[in-house]
Amino acid sequence: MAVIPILGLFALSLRGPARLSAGLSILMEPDGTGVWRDLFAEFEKNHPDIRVRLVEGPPATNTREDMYSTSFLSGAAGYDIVYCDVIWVPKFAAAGWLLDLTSRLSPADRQDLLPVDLRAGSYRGRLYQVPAFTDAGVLYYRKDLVPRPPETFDELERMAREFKTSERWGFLWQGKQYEGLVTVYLEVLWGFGGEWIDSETGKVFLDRPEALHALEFLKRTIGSISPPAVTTYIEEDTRNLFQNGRAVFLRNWPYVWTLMKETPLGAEGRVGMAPVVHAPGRESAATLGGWGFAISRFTRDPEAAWQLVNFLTGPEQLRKVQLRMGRVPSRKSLVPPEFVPVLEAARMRPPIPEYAQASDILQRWLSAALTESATPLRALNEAARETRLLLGEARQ
Amino acid sequence: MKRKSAALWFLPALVLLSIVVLYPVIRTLALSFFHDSLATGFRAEFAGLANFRRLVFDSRFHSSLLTTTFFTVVSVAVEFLFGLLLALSVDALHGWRSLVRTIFLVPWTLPTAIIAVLWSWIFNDQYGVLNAVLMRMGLVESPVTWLAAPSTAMFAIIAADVWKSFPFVFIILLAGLQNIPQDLYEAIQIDGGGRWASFRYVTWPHLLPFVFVALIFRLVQAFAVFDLVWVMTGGGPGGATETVSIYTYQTYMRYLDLGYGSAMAVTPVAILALLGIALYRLVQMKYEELF
Amino acid sequence: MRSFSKIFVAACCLATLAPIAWHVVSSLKTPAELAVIPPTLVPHDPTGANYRQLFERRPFFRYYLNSIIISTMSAITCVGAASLAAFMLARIRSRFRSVARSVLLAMAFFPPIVFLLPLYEFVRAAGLVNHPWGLILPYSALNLPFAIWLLTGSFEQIPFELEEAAAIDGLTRFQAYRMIVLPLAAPALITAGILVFIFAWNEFMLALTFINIESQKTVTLGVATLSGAFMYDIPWGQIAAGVIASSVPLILLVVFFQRKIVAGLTAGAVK
Repeated sequence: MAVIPILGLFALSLRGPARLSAGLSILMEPDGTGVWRDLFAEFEKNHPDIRVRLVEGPPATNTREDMYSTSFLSGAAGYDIVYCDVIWVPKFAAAGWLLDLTSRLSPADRQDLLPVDLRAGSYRGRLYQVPAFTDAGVLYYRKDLVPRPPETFDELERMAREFKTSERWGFLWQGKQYEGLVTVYLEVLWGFGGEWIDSETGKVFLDRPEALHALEFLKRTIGSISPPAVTTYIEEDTRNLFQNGRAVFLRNWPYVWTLMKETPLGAEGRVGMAPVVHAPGRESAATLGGWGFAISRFTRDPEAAWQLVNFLTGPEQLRKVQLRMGRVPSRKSLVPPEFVPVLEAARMRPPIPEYAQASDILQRWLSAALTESATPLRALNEAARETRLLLGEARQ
Repeated sequence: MKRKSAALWFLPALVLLSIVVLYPVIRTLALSFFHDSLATGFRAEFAGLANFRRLVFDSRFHSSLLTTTFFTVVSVAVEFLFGLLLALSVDALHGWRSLVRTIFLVPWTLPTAIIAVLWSWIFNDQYGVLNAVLMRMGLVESPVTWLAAPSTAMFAIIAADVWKSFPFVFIILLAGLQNIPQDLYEAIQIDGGGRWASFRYVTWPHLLPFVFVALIFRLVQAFAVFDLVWVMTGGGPGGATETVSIYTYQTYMRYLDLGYGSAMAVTPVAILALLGIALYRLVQMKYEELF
Repeated sequence: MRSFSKIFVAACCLATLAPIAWHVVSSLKTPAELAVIPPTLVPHDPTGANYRQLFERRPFFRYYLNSIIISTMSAITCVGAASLAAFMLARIRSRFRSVARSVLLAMAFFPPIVFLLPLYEFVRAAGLVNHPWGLILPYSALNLPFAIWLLTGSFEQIPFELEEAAAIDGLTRFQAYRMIVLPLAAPALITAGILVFIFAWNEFMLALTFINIESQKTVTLGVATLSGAFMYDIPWGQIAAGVIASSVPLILLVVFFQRKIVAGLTAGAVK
């Protein structure tokens, strides 16, 4: 008598996943402002035969990256369109998961899009991700306290020391062990004239003197011009402190500028924005961030997918997101003038497929040095060795 | 005739085992000698011992081995402590045995991943009941951020594992205790021995094979821990609770470094196998009369 | 000494059940009450909303169905294959049997991560990603060593004379197996089946890797990944409800089959 339910279960077990409804699916960050939902609705209105399915993922970018990876690995058409962080492009492209969009981009768009973002959206000369928003590290400063923004590391240290009080720290940055720490460190490293990885040759430069100077600079700030807890801060922690007047200098991203306008400090024009500092004789170099749209190789309707990507990266649509979320579009025609000098200093992180691994190695060792579980010298030497083993051997 | 028909009986099991156990183990072992990653375009290129050499210099791998060993030793030790004490206590009880066994079996039956969720809520720094109780009792002044600090995160994970796994040890040791003939205890008492003597000369020797079995199973399972850590901390904070299986999983699924991941998967097995054989020989020498 | 034992056992019983009880309490609280610090012991305003939302906002009913299907089929497939092998194993020369047993034991000691990648490749190649059988087959196979071990011991106990009598009566070996031996071994078969069911229900790593569509997730995977699906505020009430909802079937299993589960676990130790 138990046979019947068991046969029933057996029959049910043979059923695979239901055919996903036609349409394009995309995994995005949580749509707090609802602007994405509005855009998708507008697209569907103009294209009645195409449906868009928005999947709101978790806020953590690493988690979404893994969700995309898992979906691609299974080979099934999971998500049609990727809302893609620039650092994912080499990995996804090298894995062959993205469609080559080089020929689809119109000349007009190619002209309007920022060159560095186009480079970041490409891999080995082919375009895989159409840039939507750009990002670069920025130095915010208290205009009402500081006569002019610092240009060098020494000036920053001096001014921070001069204007900090018991209530107000000198310099805030993101020191937690995560990707943000890498973006901060790279700006200091490049500012000293150092390098991390040459993406062409796979050479690693972490055990050069400049890398050590850069790490020592950051380490020096802890407890002196920066709070000891800076090694636990991410962007939001530092933004909140700065907005409440608790710091003279802040290194963060452009989004802070927009949000700042709604605070007393910002509204009263007491905050200024400048390119990140560098060593004398060197140039300012900000870490490039950014997001764009790519198309999955496994999509069942590449034409429809392209139409959506084209729509989303169009000037009008980007402008809407810019207004609602404060993001800076990747289009020359839309970049606010105050950001132009900052964006000109933007530099890409190494566009290697193994970026996630290399970044994790660097994060771990930087964090170890900053939290005193390793000396800066040893940390960088170990990081260099592990990175060489990561890159060198596989490429031989 | 007989041979062939006999083989048929084994066929379903053999097919399943070959596909799911035999083939994967061999393939993983084989893959560990190749470069197979994004950099090679997912083509397997022979690499000899390169992956293993890289493991030798991989500080994150060393860390994960240490973390896993620490977790295993402490967890299993505490489980055995509780398991043994409980088995002795329950054995001394008369009645209630069925009920007690049922109650203690519950944690072992629940999914480890769910247990991780369960304990995450209890260890929650703001709303968790543990902090509330500790503060009420005046043992701590401000909420402990259990899962956000390295040492406390490991403690939380061990606590969850002990809760989940002590029943296994308890059940096996209880079965062992119930196997011991009563007259041996009487003999000791006649000779004037007290409780400690009973334990040392009767209980413990008879319990040893059961202890050994439970120990081996628990050590191997604890070393392979994945669900608990993945759900509770993901290996954080800052990799402080990252165990070998977590790092291996990341290497496979996040870094897509298949050859290296395979070397990473295989190495602990080799280490454990060597240790296991050494332990077996040691125990064999010491307790020859039991074998 | 006796009273110390009693107190100790009682205390441990409490420590075992308290976390579960706490989740029952938490699952009945409103979001507002969950945010109260320090947490209240008894819900002021008990509500079933958390459970309702579980089934409404997440495909929880589907999670349950998937788990039942996968666990049941795994148990049946595993016990089926194991009993066939164990039957023959119990009748074969001693030396081969102990070698086989040792090999089976060794298989049980591989950490699952060693199987993961090739298994994933196989499941992908067979088009079984997100499919129940993509999990049923591995679960059956991974429990075969234990099941064969368990059942061989049980089959050894059944007198050979019964089969001889059956042979004289003209039954084939398979008929003897089906009509005589299986019914006698039924308790062991059920024990093995229950243990495989529990394993399949609880398994996480393979489910995490092989299933990425919501509607195909098992209960364990669904509840464990519940918090990752939310934006900022983690709905602990729903999560607590999920924990309890996913635990109830297993707790029922323990209550009804406690003796069998214990027998299965200790079979290996009591050689």
